[in-house]
Amino acid sequence: MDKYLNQAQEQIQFLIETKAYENLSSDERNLVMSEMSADEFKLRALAISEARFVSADAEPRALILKKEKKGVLIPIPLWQAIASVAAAVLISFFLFRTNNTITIEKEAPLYAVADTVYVDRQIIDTVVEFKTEYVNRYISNVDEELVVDISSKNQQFDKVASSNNVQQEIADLDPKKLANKGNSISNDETFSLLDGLVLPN
Amino acid sequence: MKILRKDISKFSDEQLMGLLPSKRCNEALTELHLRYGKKVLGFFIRMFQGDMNKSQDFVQELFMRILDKHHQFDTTKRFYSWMFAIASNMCKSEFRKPANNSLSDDGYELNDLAQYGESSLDKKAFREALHNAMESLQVNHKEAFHLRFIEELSVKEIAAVTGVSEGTVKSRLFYATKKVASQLSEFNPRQDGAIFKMN
Repeated sequence: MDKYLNQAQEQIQFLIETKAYENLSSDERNLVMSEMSADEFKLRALAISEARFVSADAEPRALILKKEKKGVLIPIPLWQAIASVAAAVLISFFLFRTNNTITIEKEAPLYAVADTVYVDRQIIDTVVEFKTEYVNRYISNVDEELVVDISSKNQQFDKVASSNNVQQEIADLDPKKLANKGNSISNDETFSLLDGLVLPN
Repeated sequence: MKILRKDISKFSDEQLMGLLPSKRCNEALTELHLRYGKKVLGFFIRMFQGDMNKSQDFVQELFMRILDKHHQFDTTKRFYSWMFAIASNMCKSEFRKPANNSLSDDGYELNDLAQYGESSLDKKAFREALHNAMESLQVNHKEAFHLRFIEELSVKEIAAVTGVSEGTVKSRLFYATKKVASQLSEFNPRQDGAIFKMN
C-alpha cells in the first residue's frame, strides 16, 4: 500500500513531469534537493519522456464484427405505417370509384319471380281418413273374395255399399256419433296449434 | 439519403458512440478500432508483459464490450478514458484468475532508433532498460504509469478509469517513477538530452 504523498512530494512529481531541471527556480531546486539528487530528478524526467517511445509497435488484428441481422420484415416507424395505410385507402378510393346508376327501361316488362310458395291455409280432410278406415274395416269383415279382388275394388265397393249392412255402417259414420270415439281430431289437444285448420261439419 | 451521409472519419469519438445503436454501428465501431486499436493493444501488451496473442484477443473483446455497453457511455465525457476504464477492468479481472503467470515476450519490439545519432546505442540500451523497468512494476503502478505517460490521461481521468482517488493515483505515479528511475541508475542523462551509460 503506497503512502499518500505529502505536499512536497506532490509538487516534485509535478515538476518532474513538466519542467527540465535546468529550468527550475532556486526555490524549486531546493524543494527537489530535499527529496532527491539532481541526477535522479533528471533520470525520472527522462524515463517519463522516453516512456511513450517504449511502446509495442504492433498492429491490432482486424476487428471481427457481429453479423447484422437481416430480417424479412424491415422495421419501420409507426407513423410511416399509418401514413402508408392511409395512402393506400385514398388511392383505392379514387381509382375504384365508379359512377354506376341503376336505370330501368320503362317499356321493358316487369316480371315478378316468386321462388317461394307460402301456404297460409291448411285443410286436413279428416273425413276421408275416417272413410278409409271404416271402409277398410268393413272390407275386412265382408267376403274375402271381395278383398282379394283388388282390381275390381270400386265395383265391389259399390256393390257392397248398396247392401243394407253397409248403409247402416255408413250411417254410423256420422261425425256426431263418432265424436267421442277417441280418435277424432277434435279431441286432439294440439289441434289449436294448427292455424287455418278447418274441421268438417 | 445516402448523399446526405457524413464521412464517418470526421465524426468525434462521442458522435461515433452515438451511432452504435443505429444501422451504422459496424461502421462506427470499425472507425473507433482504427483510431484506438493500436493504443489499447499497446496497453494490453504492457499489462500482460508482452503476451501478444492474449493482447490481440483482449483488443477484440474490448471493442465487443464497447458495442454491448454503449448505452452506459455518457456522451458528455471522453470516450478515450471510458474505453481505458473498460480495458483496465478487463485486466483486473484477468489478474484475478489464478493461472496468470505464464507470460511471454512475443511480438514486443522497441521503436526504431535509427533516427538517433551517435548516442543511439546508449539510447537503445536505455529504452530497453526502461522497458524492463516498466515491466517489473506492480500491476497498479504499471497501469497508472502507462495511462499517464503513454496514453497521456490526466490524473483525474486515471482516477476515474481505475476507480481510485486522485491522491492514490498521484502516489502510484510517484512511486512508480521512483522505482523505474532506480533501475535506470546506470544511465547518466546529460543536459543536452543525450544519455550515456556509465561503466
